[in-house]
Amino acid sequence: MERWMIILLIVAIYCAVVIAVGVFTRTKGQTTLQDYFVGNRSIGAFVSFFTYVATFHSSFAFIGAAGQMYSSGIKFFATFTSCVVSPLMIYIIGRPTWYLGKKYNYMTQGELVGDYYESKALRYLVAVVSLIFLVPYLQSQIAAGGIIFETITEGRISYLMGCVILYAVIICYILLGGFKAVAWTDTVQGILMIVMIWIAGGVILLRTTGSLDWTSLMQTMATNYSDRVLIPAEYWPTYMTSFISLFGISIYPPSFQRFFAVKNPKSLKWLSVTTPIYLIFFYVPIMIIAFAGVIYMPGLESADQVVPMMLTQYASPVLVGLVMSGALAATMSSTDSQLHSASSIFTVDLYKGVRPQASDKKALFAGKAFIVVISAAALILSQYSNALITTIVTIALGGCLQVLPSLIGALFWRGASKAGAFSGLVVGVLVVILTQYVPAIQAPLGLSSGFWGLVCNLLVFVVVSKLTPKPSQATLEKFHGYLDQVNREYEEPQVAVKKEVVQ
Amino acid sequence: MRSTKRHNWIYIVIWVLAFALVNYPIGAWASVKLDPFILGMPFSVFYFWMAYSVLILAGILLAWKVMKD
Repeated sequence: MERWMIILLIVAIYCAVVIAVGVFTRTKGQTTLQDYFVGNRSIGAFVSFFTYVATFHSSFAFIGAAGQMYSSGIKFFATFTSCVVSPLMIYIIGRPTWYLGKKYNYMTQGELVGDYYESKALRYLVAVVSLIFLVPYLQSQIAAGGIIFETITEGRISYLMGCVILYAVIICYILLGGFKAVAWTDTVQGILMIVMIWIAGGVILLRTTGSLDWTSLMQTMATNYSDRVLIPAEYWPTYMTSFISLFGISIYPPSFQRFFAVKNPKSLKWLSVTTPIYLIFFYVPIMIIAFAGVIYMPGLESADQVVPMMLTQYASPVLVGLVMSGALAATMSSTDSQLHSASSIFTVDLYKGVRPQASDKKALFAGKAFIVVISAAALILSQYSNALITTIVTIALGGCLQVLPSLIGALFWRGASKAGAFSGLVVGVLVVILTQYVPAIQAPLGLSSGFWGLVCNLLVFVVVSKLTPKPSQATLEKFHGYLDQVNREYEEPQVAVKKEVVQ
Repeated sequence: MRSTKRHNWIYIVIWVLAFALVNYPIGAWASVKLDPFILGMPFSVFYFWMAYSVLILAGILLAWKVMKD
């Protein structure tokens, strides 16, 4: 059997396994919106950990991060701050979100924000903004799938066909299984990704340097490519602020949806501090592969190809197949969550917003049809963009980040108003788009578009909120009153225990 | 998180120190040093892995001691 056929066979077996996992873990019998979109709020700590990290770790991690380290070295470490800081947001934002979701049956950001500000228009706006910025991310994931299939089969499966295969497999298990299928396939994929990338890093190090000691690799990098292992002073403004844009990771709808889906807030607490372990140590072997690529495979036409090209060159077909299954797992685990999240936004915020009397069955049908439509749109768009995956992801996260101020109002600040949230969000999104695409004002001071969007957004949000009417007292009590009560109920027993200890 | 005004100030100080460790000025100082090589890595590379590992441990400690639920 030819090399590419062995690789393809292993990848095909992997695809069959994830479809099977999706089928066996789906909710049986009559499915409600709560079942399909938030897994009936029953996801435990183990599955929530892997579904979160696998959703977070897209093809950006396997393909884009290696490409970034290949082309610009450890400047990529700038994103690590977000790996440590933004998980803390899981707890700060996620905990009150979980309590409110459980109490009032929220399933999306738009539903929560719209209810707090007593505004259907704001609910629709949050939904539309989320959908707009979900598409580029989806597009980048499908494109990564195309690159993987094309590379492992040495061009026998075209880029377009690769994108279509990825699309078909994901659609298959999402339509069948909903959130539980997504979460469980994410778990399988999350485990596969981390195991395979470490094996790949080890094998490439062994085959290129002759040992598992990376000293000679690092010394060659320091001697011949010192610019890749240092961070120049002029890069620091970008470095210091890039993580702010990446705060969007926790606000990004697919990640945010996990806040509603977990069984209890304790899972969120441990999720927030354990996810960085996975995130940070995932990039050790990625760095090895990228640096080995710099030395042994310089001048690649596309930096994003470094992982598949290095594997094809230095690993056995079986290992290439297994590792590329890991790369596909990274792509699929994010794409399925994004599609599922887009479907929930469409169904809960837009369809049910316009037709509140529609039955769950009809709403679910609309949501599933939307999955097919939006993924087809992303598939078409993926044929027309050759931007680096990392760039696309940064724009998408920066855009979704603009929902943060209105969420802060709903969860923490009684002074926020509907007009403040609405105008802040509009200004933030416009600034992201302008500072990203208009050459004259592109990334001022070298800072990301998401950062500038958030600064302008917050400013407008606070000023307009100060000048305009707040939500009704009943709504303030419904949200802040309830959260205060939850905190009191937690703190009073703690104080009592301390008093007993003192006595 | 359990919060009193004094606690809030402590959290802010911890956050600024953690930020400085991997950003400006401490991270910036470490990021331009190739020597010494530690565990086979240039100092710049070693420093960042080490600093982030320390932050992860600090996060676990924070969850254990301070966070609610």
